[in-house]
Amino acid sequence: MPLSDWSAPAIAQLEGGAVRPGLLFRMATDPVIRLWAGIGGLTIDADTIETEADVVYQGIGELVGIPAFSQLLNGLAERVEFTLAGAGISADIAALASTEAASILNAEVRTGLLVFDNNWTILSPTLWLGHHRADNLSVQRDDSQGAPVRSITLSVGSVFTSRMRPGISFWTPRDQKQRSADDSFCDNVPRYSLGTTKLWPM
Amino acid sequence: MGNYVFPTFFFNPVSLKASLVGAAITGGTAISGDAQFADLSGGGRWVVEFGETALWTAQKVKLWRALAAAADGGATPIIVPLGDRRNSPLSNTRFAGSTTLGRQHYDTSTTWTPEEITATLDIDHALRATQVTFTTAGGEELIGGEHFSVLNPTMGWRLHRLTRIVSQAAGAVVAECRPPLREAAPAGTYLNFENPCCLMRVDGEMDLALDMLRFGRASARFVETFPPAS
Repeated sequence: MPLSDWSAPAIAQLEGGAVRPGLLFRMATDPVIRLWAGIGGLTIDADTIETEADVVYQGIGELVGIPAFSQLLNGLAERVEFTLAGAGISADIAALASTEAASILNAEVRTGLLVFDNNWTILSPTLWLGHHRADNLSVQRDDSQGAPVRSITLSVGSVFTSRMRPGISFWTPRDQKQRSADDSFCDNVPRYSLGTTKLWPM
Repeated sequence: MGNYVFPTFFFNPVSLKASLVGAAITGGTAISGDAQFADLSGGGRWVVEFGETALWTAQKVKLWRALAAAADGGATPIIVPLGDRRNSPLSNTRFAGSTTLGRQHYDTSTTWTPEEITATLDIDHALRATQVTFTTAGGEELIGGEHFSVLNPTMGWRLHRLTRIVSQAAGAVVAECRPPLREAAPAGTYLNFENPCCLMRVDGEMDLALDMLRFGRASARFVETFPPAS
């Protein structure tokens, strides 16, 4: 639901000096992973993204980091990473990091924003800002801060992001012939020596 | 199967501090000196600190050590009663009931019934409700600031604090509370005003140091904990 559908009190809350936002994370695996940045459980109204009613978004300290992501225009692509707590994770996330890793690939990842009023009542419909495709989960352990910190990183990409690695290419006649069999565009390339200055005209 | 309990009344700590801690972020300080503030916690979680608990008997020392070991560095959930009877709505702040919650260090009960103050919800309350409607009997008039607990079927004991009394007449009370209810509560659910407690975990070190191999002083810090998502 776009921001323009938000009520005036909800927008006023967002524009105020003290804001009570709720950040939601939804990954369409089986079962669906639903997390939010707050504490305790949270239920939201069903909408076009969260089609099930009365489902609970968990807030038990699993969502460690939500990345900054951009509004992608004109075919731009991005890859960002969500950080989940790796110490006490749910069985669903633990499975996704190990035996069910293949089920993550291309799972839809949605990031949403809503606001609460001064009594922690949801004041707005959910504004689903982020739309990405999950790629993989990796587990990290950081011992540099004294107490070890174990975290899970979820790499997600936008719709135009892929994991293709560009092939190395050279402008030799042989490489050009591989690209186009009857193309002699690069036939004179071997006649150039490194560091040679070509005077014009010759 | 039961839960370890911090026997607050037995240890009688010198100081008690129960705080609701949120996750606040700011966008930086503006030129004017003001800063915008955002609370992402959805209402905060409880942090309870007991300071300078004097352990002058062998029984106290051994019981404290047993709990420190059972805490497993914070992995074990422990029921923590606040033990703040003087600031509760009890008519008689001297203990007169039979409950052992707060007096023994392990509890196997799965239900709770009141003995001194009977407070029950009048209607079904949704998850994250911040207004509670209940009927109370056996206690003093509420003014706000009182703690109460709810024994939830999944979340266990959860602590709440009344922030404002909206209406109160002949035992019928409508009040606002923080944090929001951790679980939906049906009508008839008891509100524990006489011995409020919360399911927490140890945060930091809990073990004690013995002076002259006889006396110990220790502090403990507890943070609200949640069962793992299924």
